[in-house]
Amino acid sequence: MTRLCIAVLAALVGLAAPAAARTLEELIEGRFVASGFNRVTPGQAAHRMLCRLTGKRLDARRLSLAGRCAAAEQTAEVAMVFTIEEPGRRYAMHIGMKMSATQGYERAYDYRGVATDSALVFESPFMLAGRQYQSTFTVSLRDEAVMRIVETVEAIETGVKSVLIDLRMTRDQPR
Amino acid sequence: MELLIGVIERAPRRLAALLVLIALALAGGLGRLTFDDGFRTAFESDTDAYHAFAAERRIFAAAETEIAIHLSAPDLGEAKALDAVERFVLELGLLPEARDVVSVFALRHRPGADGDAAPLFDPEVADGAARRAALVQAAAHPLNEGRLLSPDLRHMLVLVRLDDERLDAVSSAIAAIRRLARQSFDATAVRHGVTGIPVLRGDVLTTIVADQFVVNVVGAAIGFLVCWAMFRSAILALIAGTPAVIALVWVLGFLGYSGIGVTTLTNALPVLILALAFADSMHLTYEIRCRMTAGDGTMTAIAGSLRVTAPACAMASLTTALGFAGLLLSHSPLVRGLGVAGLYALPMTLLAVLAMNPVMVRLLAGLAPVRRALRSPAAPLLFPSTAWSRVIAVIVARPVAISCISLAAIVASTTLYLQAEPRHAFVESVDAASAGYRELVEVERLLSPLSSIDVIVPAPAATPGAISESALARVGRVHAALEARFGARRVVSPWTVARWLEPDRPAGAAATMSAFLTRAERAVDGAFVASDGSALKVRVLTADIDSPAVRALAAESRRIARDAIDDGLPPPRTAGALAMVAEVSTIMLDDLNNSFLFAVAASGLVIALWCRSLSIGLLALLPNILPDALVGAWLRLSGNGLQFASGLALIIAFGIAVDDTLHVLNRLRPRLRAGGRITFADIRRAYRDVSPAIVATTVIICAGLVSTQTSALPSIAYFGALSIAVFGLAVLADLVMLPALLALLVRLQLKVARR
Repeated sequence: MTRLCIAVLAALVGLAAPAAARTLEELIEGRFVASGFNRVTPGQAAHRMLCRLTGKRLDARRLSLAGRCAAAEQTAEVAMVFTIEEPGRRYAMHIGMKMSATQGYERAYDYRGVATDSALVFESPFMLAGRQYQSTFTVSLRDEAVMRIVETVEAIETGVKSVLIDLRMTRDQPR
Repeated sequence: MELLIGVIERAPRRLAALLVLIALALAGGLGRLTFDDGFRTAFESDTDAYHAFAAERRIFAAAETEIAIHLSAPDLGEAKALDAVERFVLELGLLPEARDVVSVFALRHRPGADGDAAPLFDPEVADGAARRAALVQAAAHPLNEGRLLSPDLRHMLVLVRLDDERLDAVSSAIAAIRRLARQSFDATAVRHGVTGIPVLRGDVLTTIVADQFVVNVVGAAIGFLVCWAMFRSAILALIAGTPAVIALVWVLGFLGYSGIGVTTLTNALPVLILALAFADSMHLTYEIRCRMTAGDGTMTAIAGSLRVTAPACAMASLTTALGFAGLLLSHSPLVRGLGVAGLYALPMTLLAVLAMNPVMVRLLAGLAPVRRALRSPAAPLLFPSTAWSRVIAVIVARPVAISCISLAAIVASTTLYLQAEPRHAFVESVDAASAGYRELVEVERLLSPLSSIDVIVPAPAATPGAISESALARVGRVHAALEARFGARRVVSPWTVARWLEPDRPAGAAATMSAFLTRAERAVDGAFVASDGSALKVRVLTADIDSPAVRALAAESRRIARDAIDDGLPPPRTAGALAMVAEVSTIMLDDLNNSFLFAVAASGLVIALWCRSLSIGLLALLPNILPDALVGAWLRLSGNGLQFASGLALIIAFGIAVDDTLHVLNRLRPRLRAGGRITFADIRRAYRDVSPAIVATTVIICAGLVSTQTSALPSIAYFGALSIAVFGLAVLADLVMLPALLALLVRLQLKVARR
């Protein structure tokens, strides 16, 4: 489930990628759908995943993105609040989750991200199942409506890398 | 009575205005009407079975709150269909109302050495053949057993558990699921249907709301038509019918303001009230017209009619009220609610009719067309009065044979009636033609029953949040024994999972399962493991069966479970909503027999006091017991047994059927109250006067209740049909058996007098 939230975070960061010459605050408003897969822990089998999220501007510096993600056997309410530290470059984020989940049990945590020229690279250390990892999101913004988010984690101890998230995120069409 | 007559004479406009104002004020209550399908409230009771159920619900989650989605296609493994179905399952999880979604897509391979259990459907594999192979594996998966996916890959079941179980939230979720299913499958070969108890509850509620419009409007229309046919006058039909409609508005408004609301039981009350009000109002209109045709002035006719008719109407309301009062003996708050509603509604109806009908005559008689209608010679009430007078003369002259045959019929039919088995099934309250119910039948036929008898297996020691090996081994013995009797497809428990995890030593899976419980407490809370760790649950799946079958299945499951683990520890016990409903409904149906006895005894006593004659009080009961006993005997012989609809129909119809007897006795009452004896001539005269009216009122009541046949709720239609049968038999008994019994009484009294 940690991965789930990170995926959402990555999606947001992707929206702010300089490659599109757009900022997070310009793109966040609206509804999004993300589909792909996630792994709970490195090396484990992947699960198909789908998210629907709604972005809103809370004030000049704070943005929110909230919604629901689902895999075949789990669902989660996800709510994120972003604070813009440096438009188009640095962001802080708080994630809160309410899970109906068979895996993962984190409830809330903070994250920080940085944008580069061609994509958004977002990094954070975190603990999972007693092991220390470094996660790296690569977010490619193909156009305003479509992006691909890939999270790769590297075990600090062994240096082994594993893809935890692979999501394709689009603007949600009216249903 | 004299006060009412005085007001009608002196201030008819003010009285009419007051009655209309009351109607307007109570009409405001229509907007406050609440509707309850009774699923939750019907069986809440002070019974051991309900208390045990409530205790179980504190540690185990409800299983009957899931929405079931039935997906079918010629081949669900076909790539486009499979993609659409998997996407649909994920989308279900995104609905804000969904708490959990259960489907074959959650099935996994057995965990490897690293403990990881890979899903059967690998999201990184898009190849159609590989995905189809995964579906085939899912069909053969030990955790599936044909319950979520049929072996031929044609039928799939997806279960959705909701966060909020309130009906409005459930209705909103069902609408969202249906919308999503249409969006997901409209362009595919996949057919979809939504069912489950929450869906059927929503259907019942929709029907109850619709009934309040359709059944009552149809009932009122039929009432007006019958009045028009009886009086051959549209004006008199309006005078007779308007008070009944006013009474209906009063009663519905009262149900709204009082918060009693409309339930599956009180649903029939308004139309019943309508029919009674039509009957009373027709009696009054008939009497007024007879008197005005005979030359009485308007006010004289009104006063005379009220003095003659009102006491009988009031007594009829009283005996009907006694039927409703009998319902207060029930353990069911829903049945008691009907009793209370009836007790309030009857006096309101009586007042509406006795005040509204004469005041309308008083005010409208000034108009020439109305005056003409009221003074035109009263047409016969479609009743062969002359021929019937001859029949009555024969009956009165030879009462012994008819009385003996009648008494023998009462004894025989009562004996059969007492053997009618209490019987309740959920389907009684559901429209069997509804899409939801038809889908339920299909799901239970093709995939898996959605109901269950639960067997609770106490753990040797409470282990909150975990499953001990000894507890798992214990549940395993129960599971195996039940499975040997009912088959693997019908028995589900933690042992199902343990056997899959550790085929060689299932009890050894306790640690793995405990770890899973710790990690996923909310997803699996209370489904099979008690929240306090005190017990595990085995579900014996069963389709919707009636209460005797449920009780038999529960008893058999309990016996098998106890035989399987005769180890000196606390024995297994049966539980679950189905078992509770079967037990409590049996008690409640027995209550209805007590209510009926109360209604009979109380009505006899009241009639005896009214006529100041114990023998008349007892005698008056017999022609009213016979119809109920005959219908009860039919319930036994037909195998239908005693259901809520039939039990209530027998009690309430008894109270109403006494009405006809009272109208006959009302004619004999002056002599009885004066301490005199009735004569054969009195009987003949009474029948000459009242036979047309009691037949007409029976026709009106029965015609009004015909509208219950428009209800999609089988229980309401059944209630109406049985009530009509009782009224039909009752009027026959009043026309044949009662004069014979009265004549026999006269004979006996003469014999005694001669001695």
